[in-house]
Amino acid sequence: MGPRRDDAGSATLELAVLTPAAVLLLGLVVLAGHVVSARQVVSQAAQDAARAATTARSQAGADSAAQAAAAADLAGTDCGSWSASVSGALVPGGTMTAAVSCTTSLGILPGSFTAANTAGAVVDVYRGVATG
Amino acid sequence: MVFPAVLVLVLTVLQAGLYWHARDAALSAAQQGLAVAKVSGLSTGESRAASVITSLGGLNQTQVGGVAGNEVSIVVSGVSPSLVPGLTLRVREASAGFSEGYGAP
Repeated sequence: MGPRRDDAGSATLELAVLTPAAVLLLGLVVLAGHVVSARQVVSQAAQDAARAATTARSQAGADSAAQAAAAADLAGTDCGSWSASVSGALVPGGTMTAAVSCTTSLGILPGSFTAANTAGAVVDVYRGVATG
Repeated sequence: MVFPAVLVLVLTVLQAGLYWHARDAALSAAQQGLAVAKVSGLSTGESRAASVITSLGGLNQTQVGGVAGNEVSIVVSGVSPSLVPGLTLRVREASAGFSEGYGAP
């Protein structure tokens, strides 16, 4: 009795083997998409927050300006919860650094991902000096 | 019976990749357009966004819009290329920020 030579059932076997692999690959694509998208959004938000902070007139104003800039960037994105903070000296030529982090859900996948980034911006050298 | 199912599975993975690329391209275009719009005005920013999305590709029926003002925003929308007949995946990415300029002290 020789080995079977017909192809009957081979496609079904292929499907059985391929399905878990394809589903896994699909999950990987979705995961990568969410991660890349969150990183891209956070990096932009950090840059904008830092720049907005440098245009403020006071240290407290810098913080609220950074929050507003980050909020404008992160509105409508997957970032469910986020936080932004600024540090640095608000003096001409100084550097303001903004740190933004965002936690995003992974859509159809369980779990969540937190992306964080910092960015710096230089305070304009010829800015006016606040009085009082 | 089985082979079409395999095709659908593989195409779904590719479709997901195409959709994410379309989103990524639209977001990049919106962000780069916004960076220009902040300094040079809305219409210059919109044309920058349009040229970015054209060079990146991967997004059909592209539309670029925006809102001018103290807070300027750029919106890039379109339709992801579809591998599954009858499936329309819309993409809409926006970027907003404050325009650069002289302000009251």
